[in-house]
Amino acid sequence: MDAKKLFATFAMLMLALGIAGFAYAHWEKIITINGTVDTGKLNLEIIDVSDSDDPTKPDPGKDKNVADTEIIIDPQDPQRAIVTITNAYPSYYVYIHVTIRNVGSIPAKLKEIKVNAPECIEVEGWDHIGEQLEPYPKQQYQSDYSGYIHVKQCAEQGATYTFTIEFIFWNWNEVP
Amino acid sequence: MRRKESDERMETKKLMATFAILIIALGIAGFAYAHWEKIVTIDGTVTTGTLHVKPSFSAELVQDKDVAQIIYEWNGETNTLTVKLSNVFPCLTVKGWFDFENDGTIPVKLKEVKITMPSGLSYDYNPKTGEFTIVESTPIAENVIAIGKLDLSRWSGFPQIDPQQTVYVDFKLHFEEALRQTQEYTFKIQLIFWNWNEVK
Repeated sequence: MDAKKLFATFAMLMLALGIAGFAYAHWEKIITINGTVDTGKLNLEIIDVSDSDDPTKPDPGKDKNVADTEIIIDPQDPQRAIVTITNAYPSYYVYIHVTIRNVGSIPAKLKEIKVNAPECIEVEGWDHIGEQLEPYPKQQYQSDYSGYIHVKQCAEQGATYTFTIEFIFWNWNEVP
Repeated sequence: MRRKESDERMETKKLMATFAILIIALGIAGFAYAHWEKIVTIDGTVTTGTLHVKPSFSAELVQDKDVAQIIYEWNGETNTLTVKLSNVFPCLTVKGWFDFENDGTIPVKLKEVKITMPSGLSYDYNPKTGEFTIVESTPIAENVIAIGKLDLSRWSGFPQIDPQQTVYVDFKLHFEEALRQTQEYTFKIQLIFWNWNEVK
């Protein structure tokens, strides 16, 4: 029994010394690297818009000034243009143009153009799929994109139709 | 011993498969998060105009006695003008005009005039002079029962009518001696207007 007590006491002593020994046994020097990553910003804005229907002249391709097209930049959202066509009729067509500037800090590339339009209104959007827009004010910082709206024969009188053209930009390095 | 090695190989394969799946999943997740997107939108509204022409009519009978009568009515639902001449006699002259008001918002152009005559009657129209004759065919002969003239001088821009514009077609109709008694003649004239830009 005494031998056991002695052994236990010895073991505890060894353990305590071991712990103390560990605590005192190493030297330490910490080298710290503090890092900060500021991400860039992908941002584009419409800076100019126009359409091919001059309100003082006959409608495009026609001999009378009947329909009217107005395109503006949304005052609340510079990434949105609003097109309003009034008094349209079958065969009326108009071209619209938007100038888009890269106002962010990351190059942007046009990945896709999505068009959503009713059956009786033909809408197309085009130009520059894959084109890269460098951040302003580097070169090639803005580009023109176009749309075409054509009222087809099946359009009803006194009706209102809506459509959307979306120009989808990604950070340049993710677009093939 | 061999069984133990086989089990170890199996475990290694499972581990590799799990690792591979994890890598693929991370890759997909990485792709999904790797792009930033900015959408520039063009929202459009197209409001179409209306095409509508409203006809009207005015006429007088040139007679020294109140013998023949003329009545006419306008049905807005069918856009139809019905004119009825009754108790007509030879030498009666009818003078008047049709007017057409473009009360829509789109210019219109007269594309076609369809005239449906009663059986046995035919007409001949000279677009240069505006003169026309109505002929009745009988087993014995062809008789001119009426002559007349259309005057388009008050239709400015014929055959177009602009919105808010009213044009007039003056006419004169004279019944001839060959007109038969106790007959009823029913005819229909349809003027077909299209939006101006679709008519050549």
